[in-house]
Amino acid sequence: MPVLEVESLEYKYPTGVSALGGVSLAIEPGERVALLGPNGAGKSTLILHLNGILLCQQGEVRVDGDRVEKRNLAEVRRKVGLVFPNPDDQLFMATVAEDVAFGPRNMGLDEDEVDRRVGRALEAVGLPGFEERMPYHLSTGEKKRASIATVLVMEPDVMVLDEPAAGLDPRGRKGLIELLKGLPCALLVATHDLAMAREVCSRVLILDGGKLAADGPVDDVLADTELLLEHGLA
Amino acid sequence: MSQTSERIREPSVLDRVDDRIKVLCVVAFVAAVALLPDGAWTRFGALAGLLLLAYLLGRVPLLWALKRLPLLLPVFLLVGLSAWISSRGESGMGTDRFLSVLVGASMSLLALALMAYNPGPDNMLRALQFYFRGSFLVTLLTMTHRYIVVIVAEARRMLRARDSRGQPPRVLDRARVAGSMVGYLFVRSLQRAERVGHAMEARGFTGVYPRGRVRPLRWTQLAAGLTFCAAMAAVVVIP
Amino acid sequence: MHMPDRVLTPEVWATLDVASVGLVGGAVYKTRQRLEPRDAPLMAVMAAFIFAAQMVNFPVALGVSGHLIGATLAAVLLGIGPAVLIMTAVLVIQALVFQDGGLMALGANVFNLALVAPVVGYLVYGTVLRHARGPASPQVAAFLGAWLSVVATAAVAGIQLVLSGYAAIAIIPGILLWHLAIGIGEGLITVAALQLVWKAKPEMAPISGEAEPPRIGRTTSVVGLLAVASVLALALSPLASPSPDGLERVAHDAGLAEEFEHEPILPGALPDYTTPGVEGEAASTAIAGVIGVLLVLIPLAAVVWLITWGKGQEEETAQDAA
Ligand SMILES: Nc1ncnc2c1ncn2[C@@H]1O[C@H](COP(=O)(O)OP(=O)(O)OP(=O)(O)O)[C@@H](O)[C@H]1O
Ligand SMILES: [Mg+2]
Repeated sequence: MPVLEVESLEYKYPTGVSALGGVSLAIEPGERVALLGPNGAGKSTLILHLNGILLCQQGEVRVDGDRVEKRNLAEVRRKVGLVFPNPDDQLFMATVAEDVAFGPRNMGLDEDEVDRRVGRALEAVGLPGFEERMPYHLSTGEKKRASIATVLVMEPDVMVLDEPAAGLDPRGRKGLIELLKGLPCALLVATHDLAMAREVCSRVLILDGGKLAADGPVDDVLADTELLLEHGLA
Repeated sequence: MSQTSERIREPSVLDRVDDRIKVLCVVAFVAAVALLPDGAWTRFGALAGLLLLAYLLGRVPLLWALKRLPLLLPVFLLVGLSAWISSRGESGMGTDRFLSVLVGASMSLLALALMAYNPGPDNMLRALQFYFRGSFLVTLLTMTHRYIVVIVAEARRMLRARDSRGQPPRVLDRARVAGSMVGYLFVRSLQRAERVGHAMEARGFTGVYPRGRVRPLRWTQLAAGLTFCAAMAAVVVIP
Repeated sequence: MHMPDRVLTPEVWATLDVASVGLVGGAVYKTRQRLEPRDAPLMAVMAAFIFAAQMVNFPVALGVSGHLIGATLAAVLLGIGPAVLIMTAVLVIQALVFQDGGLMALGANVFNLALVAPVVGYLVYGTVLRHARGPASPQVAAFLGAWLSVVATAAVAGIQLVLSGYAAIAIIPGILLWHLAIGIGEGLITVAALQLVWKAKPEMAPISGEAEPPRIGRTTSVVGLLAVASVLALALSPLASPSPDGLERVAHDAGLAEEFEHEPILPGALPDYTTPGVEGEAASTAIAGVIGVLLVLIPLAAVVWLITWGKGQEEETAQDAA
């Protein structure tokens, strides 16, 4: 059974902009999927639906077969982790350790377990020993890693990353790619970086104008220059 | 801004005191300074000595703290004017009152500056979280302090961009430019607030910071703190 | 201006500490009833915004520069409850982290800048908006709200200082005159900021947008404005108090007493600021003050009404013509 399913999802912003016009997709456990699309395609809007930040106006989102609703938000948010594009929005506590512990504490875990998980997550993103550092004094690359740790620590089944490579230098980007490849959960990565999509993911979705334009193995989709040109990706 | 919070230095005597006790002591000290009768110079002197001792023991840069004193100047001018006029009238405040305000306000400011240096804003806020468990206002304060850094940086960038282009000649227009910048800052802050809200919700936030591990207060520390408070009370009450 | 510690006497600051704890506690309770989790980060970021907005200064003249306080701006954009909490957060951070304002005096500062300022600003804004329906009325309403909020805050602070034993003659005129001017800056910045926000986020604009203009009942308006007027009157009344105090004594010493005697502060109807036929000097002074303030406020209200109403008419006529 897919961990994450989206069915005929439509969404219109209060301003009247129709951002999603019937999107359907499914992600299997452990699968690595890239979400490509030009600016304004609706990628971020779609992502906000995946753990119930935005609730469906039309269609539905299912996590482990369960429809996402107000009543099961806590569980959904444990299973689906979101990493937002700007780490300054994501890191809001006084120290890295507290920030990483924020999610597990909201889950009601006991403090020993929280400590263990925080240590493991920081280790996994390559920031061991950063516990007492202040998030706003980190470099962009370190902030990115810390953001990923704040979600990884909740041990989600699916991690969804919105533009994880934005603002990184080539070395930072390379490090991030290695980090993503090593993550244990299913991934959905929204990005404008085709090379990264090729390295990290096995499947590609192309979203344009709020509709899915392609869904296939990474080598097939990225080899179709015409398709990429049509959607402003090449 | 938080130049003091990530300092790397040898632990001082002050560092051996629990942050929560330090906060308690500063509050007691400031209250004592505010409650001393006018012209109780011996007692003012004793408290000032205590403050100086704390600065020395904590190796807190006194000069850095003294640089905060000009904040008090406008008020001193007002108080001085009032004292001067009163001295020519029959009633009102005398020199003792005037000097007590000068000395007391300065001592209080220096005590607060000490607290902002050690334990520093973040630990201070954590101490408040301990004393006011689950308080919405303390959650709000902690988050506000975090985002001040980000939004002030944004405001600084805008101000720099404005000042590099010069100011319009008319005051009215300058006010309008400042207003537009404020409005723009608001719109950007609102968008940021929305994104921050999303990021917090995505990690299961429900309105108040989850409680982390609460280190119990050691009873020796607590006893020391309460003794200090009692001493402060005694200074105020016993003439 | 934030009050440092020890400027006020213990009776005054302790009373204000208690009052502020109660009132802000009430605001927290009321606000949280209507809020969702995501409103906590919203208010925190907005408090950080107000803090930063207070840094946006503009040169006035001679090295003096003006800046925003922001209480009315916050109240107009986010509502009165959130505005109280936001301003409180700003003041606490300013005191604890930046030593701007004292700790025992925090109650006084919260009372003046986080309670009086947004409440007066919101009250005036809402009242004017309800009665004036022209196209420029939100701007006029916000300007008056911001301006009066600053003046009322100054008056309240002045009263606190006088209660703490400062010579009224030294405190009140200076504070009030200075803040009558500062308030204009506050009004201008507030209006300019609101105009930009309303343009960028039309859904936040009153009248045209969905944002419901503050719902302030007639009784609240009347009682509230009377309270503001009385506070202003109270602040001004010591000026006209008949007992010879500081300035008059100075004048006497300098041989200016004669001229002072013949120069009542409000000429005409209210000689020497007392009401004929009312017993008791304090009472009569206060009543005279209230009447004086009303004499100022009523024409002001009329002018505002004429401006906004006139503009509305013009617009309608223009539309008819087109
Ligand atoms: N908060 C909002 N209010 C109104 N409209 C919005 C909002 N957020 C996004 N939109 C609109 O919805 C559409 C989809 O935006 P979205 O941010 O989802 O695109 P995206 O694919 O993430 O683009 P990018 O690659 O630039 O991040 C756009 O037309 C955008 O203008
Ligand atoms: Mg996006």
